[in-house]
Order: sequence, then C-alpha cells, then structure tokens
Amino acid sequence: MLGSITVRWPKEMNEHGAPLLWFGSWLTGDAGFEGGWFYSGRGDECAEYSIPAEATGVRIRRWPNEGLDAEYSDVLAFDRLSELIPSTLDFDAPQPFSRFASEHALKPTTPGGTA
Amino acid sequence: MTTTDRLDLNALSASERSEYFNAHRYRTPGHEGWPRVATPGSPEKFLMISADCHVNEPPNLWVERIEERYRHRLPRIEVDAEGVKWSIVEGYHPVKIRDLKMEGEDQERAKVGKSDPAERLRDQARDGVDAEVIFPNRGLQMWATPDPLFAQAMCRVYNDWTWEVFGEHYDRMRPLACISTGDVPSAIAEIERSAKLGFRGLSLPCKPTWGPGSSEDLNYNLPEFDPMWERIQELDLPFTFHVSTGKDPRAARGNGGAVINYVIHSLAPTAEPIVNLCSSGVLDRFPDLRFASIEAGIGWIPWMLRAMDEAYEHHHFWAFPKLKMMPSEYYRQHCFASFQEDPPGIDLLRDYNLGDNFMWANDYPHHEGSWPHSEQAIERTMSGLSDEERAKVLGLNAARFFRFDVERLVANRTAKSPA
Repeated sequence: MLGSITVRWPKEMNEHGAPLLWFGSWLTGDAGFEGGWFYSGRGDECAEYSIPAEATGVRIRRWPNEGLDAEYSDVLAFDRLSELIPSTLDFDAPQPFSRFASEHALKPTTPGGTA
Repeated sequence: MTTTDRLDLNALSASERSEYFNAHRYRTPGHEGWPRVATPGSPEKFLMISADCHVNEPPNLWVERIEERYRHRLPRIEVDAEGVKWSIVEGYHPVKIRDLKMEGEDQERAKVGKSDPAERLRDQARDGVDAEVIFPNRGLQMWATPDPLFAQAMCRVYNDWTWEVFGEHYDRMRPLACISTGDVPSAIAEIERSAKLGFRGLSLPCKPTWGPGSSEDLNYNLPEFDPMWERIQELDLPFTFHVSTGKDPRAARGNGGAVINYVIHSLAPTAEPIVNLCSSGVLDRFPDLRFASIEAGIGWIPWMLRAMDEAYEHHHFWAFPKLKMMPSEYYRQHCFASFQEDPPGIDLLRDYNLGDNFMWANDYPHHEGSWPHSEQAIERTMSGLSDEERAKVLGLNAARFFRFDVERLVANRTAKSPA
C-alpha cells in the first residue's frame, strides 16, 4: 500500500480541561499488530503522511483522561480514504482486534483498588 | 476516625465525604517535648527522606518509545459489545472504567505528582521532605504480564525517561531503575545498563513470574538467581520490592473489594520476596546484599520475623539449607521496610530491635500516603520513640540504605528553595 493520507488532528479538550492528547500509528498485517507511529501531540493541526508499504490500517489513540490508558479506534481499508478526521471516529464501539475475550479467559471484575 | 456508624455516609455528597474521610489527617497531639520536629521549614526539623514516592508518567510515554513489536500489547481501554469501557492490561483481569469524581484534598492529590522537578521540590518542601525515592505510578503495570521480555521492554522505556527527567537531580529526587526479573540474562543486562546510566538503586517485582504463583515458577529463593545477586552485589545497588508488582492485586470483586484487595492482594504478598531471601541461603552466599519492602507497612514485620524463626526451628527436619543465622537475623542485617502511617509497627519497633530497619515515606502523591500532612501523621504515631529513633526512621535509615549524601541534603536546606 502506497500513497499518502491527510489527517486533521482536532482541537478538543480532555477531562482535565487541557488539549486532548492524540497518537497515530500504522497497523500492519491482519492481526492488529502495529508498526511505526507518525503522530503524538495535542491536535489542532493537519498533516499529510506517506503510507508505508506494509500498512494495512491506522490506529488512532486518544487520552480523554490522562490518569487512564488510551482509548483507540482502528481504521482499516484506509486506502480508500484521502483524509482522516479522528474526531469523527467512534471510540465507544468495539474494535476489530480486541484482546478482551482472547487474552483474558478470567472473568472480568469490577475494580477494588490498589496501591 | 475509628467508627463510621454515626453518619449515613451514603447520604453525603462527594465533597462532604472527602471532608469527612480526610479529617483525621489534621489531628495531632502536637510535639511538645520533642527536641527535633517534623514541621516543614523549622530549623529543628529532622532530616526527612521519603522512601516511597511516585511520578505520573506522560500518558504517551510507552506508545512513543517502546519497540514496535510490543506496541500493540500495551495497556489500553477497550469497549465491549454493550458499550462498556474496560481497562485491558496483560496480566490483570479486565477492569471496568468508572467515573470517579474526586473532591477537596482527594482531588488535590490526584493533580500533583507530575514529573516537573521544580513542582516536586515545592510540593515536598511543603510536607517537610528533604529528598524522595521515586517509583512509577501507571508504570507499576509494567510487570503485569507473564512475558518478562515485554516487561523488560517497558522497563527500559521507563528507565530511559526517568533518568532524562531526574538524573540531574539525583541527590534529592531518586528514581530507581525498574527491572523485570523473569528472564535472568535480560535482568542482568538491564541492571548493568541502568547502573551505567547512573541509577543507584533497583526496583524489582515481588515475584519474577507474574501471576498467583506455583512451585514450578522461578522465584528468588532459587539458585537460578545467583548470577543476578552476584552482579547486584558487585555494583553495590540497593533493591526494593514495591507492593502490587507480583500478581494482579484485584483478586476480589465487589462487597469490600477495595479493602480486601488492598490488604490481602496488594500489601500482604510483599512479604514473599523478603522471606525468600532470608530463609534460602542467598544471604550466606551474597552477604552484602541490602533490600527493602516498599509501601507494604511495618506492623507485619515482627510477626513475619517470629514466623520465619518458628518454622526454621520447629520444622528443622524440613527446613533446608541450614543457615549461619536465624532468618530474623538476616532480616535485621540486610532488610528495610517503608511505611506511611503504621502505629502497630512503630509500637513494636523497640521490642523487636527494628529501629535500624524502618523507613518512613509520605507516598506522595498517593491517597494512602500522608502528603501534605506528614507532620501530623508523624506526631500521631511516633511520640513513643526517642529522638534518635525518630531521626533514624524519618531519614537516616533511608540515607544509609539508598546512600544519600546527608551533609549535602542538610546543606540544600539553606540553599534557595524553588519559587
């Protein structure tokens, strides 16, 4: 896969009232592995990125709460896109390469608190 | 606060609950008769070294820096078919994300603990702290995987970053190099790399193999670790075992889970590496090792010493190897323990001859710590100690264990504080 994609990194605020932190990386292969990353920043900018030959998709991470891990959304078949606007992605939907079921045979639990 | 039956706590607002549960932090009997005090800014203040503090790492630290082959395995939030969000970390049960609103002091503690050295110096000076030993915060997840090489990759990222941030301030802000120990050659390589960077102490997981534990697992009592102990001893590095770093501490759910998990699945397992080292002959082979349990408290240590000696004597027909000393004697010679506010441990300090082993910490910025009211916590719990005992527990023991330069720390007091 070759060519380029334009990403319009939005200006959004996180739960602490600061600009939202975004991170973009390339998916490779067909199992959700990640290759290199191409963006890590607070948004409010637009850039065009060359697509690596091995890329099969894009993973967009964001941190609405910086005390927690990142939410993410995967964009596959992105060769049909010329422009990506991360604010239009659905971060509240299940994603294709979920580890939820496959790597956690243990029953999910609600939090109890740790040090 | 000893009873909660006078108020309907469920009826209180978040801010009222915060005020209610934080009220005890202000209570103090004072320090009348103390030659030296824990009062921030006082010329009569003890040298105070917090042996356990934490730094909030940048949220994108690991995704930016880790080797590409591991990036997709980093912790993340996933959404299930019902739209519920879960924290997914290798080695942890999935944990449901809750909207946790903090108010008052609780909120203040949630906002501090950043990596800016000037901010930390200011925060610690407010609490009377002259120097701090720094552990990860979210980075405590680094060991939460059964793959020791993935854990090591995360540790390398943390070690590089924390040295970049604090290396110039190592006399007062001392992060320890985090090491994954499940693969011994990789552990030795990272210990050597960290020492070369300049780190003068290590943070090891409570168990080398992540998980609930089995006799088949590698563990610190076994001779497989001798090459690692040998290198640590040669490099003269103190090493620590922080709570919650050997297995998933969230083993109970609901109905008291927060209390059960904290006491049983987070704090209590920290005894395991200590007993492993004191009873296995490791300290006969490597007599210059020194190590500490971190954040697990001290009240259990007199009990543990007694239990180790009891097993060694009463089960002498099963207890091998035969040691040069009783297990409790190895503890007193080699081991230290950090605590925040633990009256039973302080009360038993003299009876069990542990005045050289206990190290106070404010656990900044964690809620189970005493920041920013350490003076009151110290006055509440340490009135039964002598001035000399307090001086050791509040700073001199940590200085000896971590090799802080006491004269330099005292000199820093007269230097200009950060604005």
